[in-house]
Amino acid sequence: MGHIRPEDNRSPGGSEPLAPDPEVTNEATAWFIRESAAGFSQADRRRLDEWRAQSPAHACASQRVQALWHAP
Amino acid sequence: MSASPSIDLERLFHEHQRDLLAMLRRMVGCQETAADLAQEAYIRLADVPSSHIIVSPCAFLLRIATNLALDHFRKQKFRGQRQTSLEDAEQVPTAARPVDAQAHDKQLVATLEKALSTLPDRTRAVFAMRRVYGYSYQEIAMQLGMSTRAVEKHLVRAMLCCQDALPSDDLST
Repeated sequence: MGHIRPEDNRSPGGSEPLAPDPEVTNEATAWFIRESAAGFSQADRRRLDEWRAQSPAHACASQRVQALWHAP
Repeated sequence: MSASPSIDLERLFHEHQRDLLAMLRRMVGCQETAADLAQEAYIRLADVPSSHIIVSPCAFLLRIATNLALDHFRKQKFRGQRQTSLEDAEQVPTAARPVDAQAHDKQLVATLEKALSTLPDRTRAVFAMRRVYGYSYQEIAMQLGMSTRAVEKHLVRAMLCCQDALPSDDLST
């Protein structure tokens, strides 16, 4: 996965960031929490990578939840 | 040492040393630190006045060890923050962190604390045990008497609550 820039989640032609889709946020958060579970398998890892690669919105949501976890 | 007569230290050591070390190693992630903490736990147990009757010395030992591990996390976190500040200071001698960034961090923390305060106690406890003390999901589940799936649900709820509280671009880098 390449570096995700905030502008990847901006409205088409606009400079305002799109409000995160709640469904995508839920999914990204569930993945993030599951990723640290003991039973997280290689197959789960592949599915997570695939999900992140599906769209910039997924990648942004994933990055956002990680940033939140490591916030001050 | 004059341990409480209800404590047979030698027997405790032989029967529980391996489990105690394994638990501490899982908590602190370092064999050496785990061994130090285990030793300290035995010393503290041995220091229990002889007038005290310990009903379950094994449970008492595990509680002492858990508290020592939590103290260790607190010290480590403080040390980490201090070290990071010093490293920043060395790299950017004039301004380790811009004032507006500091203000932003402060605002962020206040917002997150306010959001977390609206959550049920149990959800907050799960979040703190994971985020602050680094407990595994299994350890949290065991200590709070819930399933690991429930631990995950509490964590998702806490994280969603925090995300809802923040402006959409507040965490963009």
